[in-house]
Amino acid sequence: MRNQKNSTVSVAVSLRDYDLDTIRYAAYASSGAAHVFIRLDKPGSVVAEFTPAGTVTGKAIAASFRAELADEKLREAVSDNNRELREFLVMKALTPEKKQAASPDSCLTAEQEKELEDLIAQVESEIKKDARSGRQEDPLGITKTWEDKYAGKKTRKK
Amino acid sequence: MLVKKPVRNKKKLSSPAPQALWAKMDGGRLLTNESGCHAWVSEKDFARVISGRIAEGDPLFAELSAAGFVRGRMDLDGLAAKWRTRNEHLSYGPGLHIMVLTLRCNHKCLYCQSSAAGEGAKKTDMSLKTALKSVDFAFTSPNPAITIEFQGGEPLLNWGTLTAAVKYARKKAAASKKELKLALVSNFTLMTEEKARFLLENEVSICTSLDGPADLHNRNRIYAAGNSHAGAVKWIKYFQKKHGNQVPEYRIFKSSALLTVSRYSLSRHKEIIDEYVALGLEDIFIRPLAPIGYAKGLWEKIGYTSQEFTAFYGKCLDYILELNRRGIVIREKMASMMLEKILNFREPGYLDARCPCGAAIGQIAYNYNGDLYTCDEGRMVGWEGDDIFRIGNVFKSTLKGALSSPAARACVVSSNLEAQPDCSRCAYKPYCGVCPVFNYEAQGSLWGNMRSNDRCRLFKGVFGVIFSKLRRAGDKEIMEKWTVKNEGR
Repeated sequence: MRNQKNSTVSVAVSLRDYDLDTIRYAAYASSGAAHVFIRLDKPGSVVAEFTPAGTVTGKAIAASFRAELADEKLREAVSDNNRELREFLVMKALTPEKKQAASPDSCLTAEQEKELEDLIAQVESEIKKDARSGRQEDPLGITKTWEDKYAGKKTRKK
Repeated sequence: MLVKKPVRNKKKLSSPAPQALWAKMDGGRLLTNESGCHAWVSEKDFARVISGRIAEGDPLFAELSAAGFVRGRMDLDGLAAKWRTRNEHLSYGPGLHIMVLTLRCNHKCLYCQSSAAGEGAKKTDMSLKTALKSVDFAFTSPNPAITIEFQGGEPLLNWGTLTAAVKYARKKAAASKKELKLALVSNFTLMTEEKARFLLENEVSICTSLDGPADLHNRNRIYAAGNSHAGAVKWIKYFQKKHGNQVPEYRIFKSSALLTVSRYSLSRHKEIIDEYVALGLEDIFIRPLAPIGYAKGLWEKIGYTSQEFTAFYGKCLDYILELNRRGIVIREKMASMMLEKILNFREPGYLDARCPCGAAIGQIAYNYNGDLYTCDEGRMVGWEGDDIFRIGNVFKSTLKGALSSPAARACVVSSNLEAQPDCSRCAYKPYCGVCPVFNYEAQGSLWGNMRSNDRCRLFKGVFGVIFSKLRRAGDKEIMEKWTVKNEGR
């Protein structure tokens, strides 16, 4: 126990310089080489304790932790600044794209809807073509409205 | 679901740092982001990128803004679409169903990860009833494409059950209108003309193990009754020939082989690759060994460090690229799967490198007795007496029950890279995945500790090699062709 205590290296970190998450992430980076314990020290400060678990010395681990703190501060800042954006992108990716819905009473599949639309377009185009070629004859006056046909006529009296 | 618009992207940003993860590489930085885009910048430019000082007219602007590394100039629709494509599998359900037809095997491989039993242990054969029930279970998955992989032990030792399962699965596929792929992993020593014909006629794709030249292969794969290498080579040639002479009645797939890298392989990369090329195999999967199953006990003898594997992998990739430059068709499988993610933003079906990992939600392993496991590795841990990865039984469970079992949920949670302290900050996060089974076996917890995790180091090494090659125009051109070939699979 004494040996372990002797080989433990402590690094004090001010919470004014680094927030606790940054300290945790930075300490995690050393967790492959040492057992890490983070405890609150005086107000506004924490102490990260590293007990080497392998061949890397405590001094080297402490130096690596300090370097990692600076890097982690940048990563944390970039991550924080983009949290909303990342969440938006993922939400957008997970939200199904709006498809043009068929009318509720049509009971047609998207494929059938398209087929129907194509057919309508074809018929309309043929009608226009016929109209242009003057083939639109109407001997029975079917296309005339009731008013056009009968408005001028007098009703027969009984 | 309501989509909240990002306010910051439209207004002047308090801090215009782009969404980016990074790693130091070749004297500069590799940048990646959630959508899977990547870019390289020098150290000097890195400072400008991170502080948002890349403006229109800057030489880096076009490349970095197209990849989403310039805030305020992001194609949000495009980036979201890339994320969606890369994670499409999340909405499908398990597609890979591994049926362990028997634990019996006629080999005694040094690294056996399948925890095989002796040839006489018939009690470890899957019964016909269990096999058919397993097929039924597989087809309850909502995934429109089902792959059933027959494994062992040596699956040809339970031939009757194999043929019945194949026929039944084909019927189920026709009735359910699902796409079905059938695959067999065999050492080929029990293959006969009659068996081969059945497999070809039923469109079962065939895969074997090939560890390199005869002496190396036979050193790893001990077969008391004969020469394991000779058997594998004979039948690879047979299936290659059949593939070359397609018939109108059915498709004949190209046979494939799997390489398992043991310590004995490390000094012989050229010979191994030459062996694959000589047999006309167009893919080689440089597969690392994992300390699971029998390999765990023999690790000191046959294992290696992640650094040793990375060095070997680098040499292999160099040689494969050299062969490609000479016009020889050969691809490295792990690289081609990672490139699919890096260059095409697509998930290639590599379940080991997904987030969350493929355990249960992407694959299910069916043990000979009908027990269901998160994956084949989880099944092996079960065979050693620890059923932590068991998610149910085909006779008692429903798919919903299996997927919501404690083991399945624990694997999903522990392999979520957002929840892994190191992974959430890692530049390779968009392409990587952790393995809860490996963590459990090697480090004693599903989460593990990535800073001392050999699999993590190994993957970082492999990504480092791949990204380094992508920086060189000539190598990149060749590697891009590997992904084009993926499209024709």
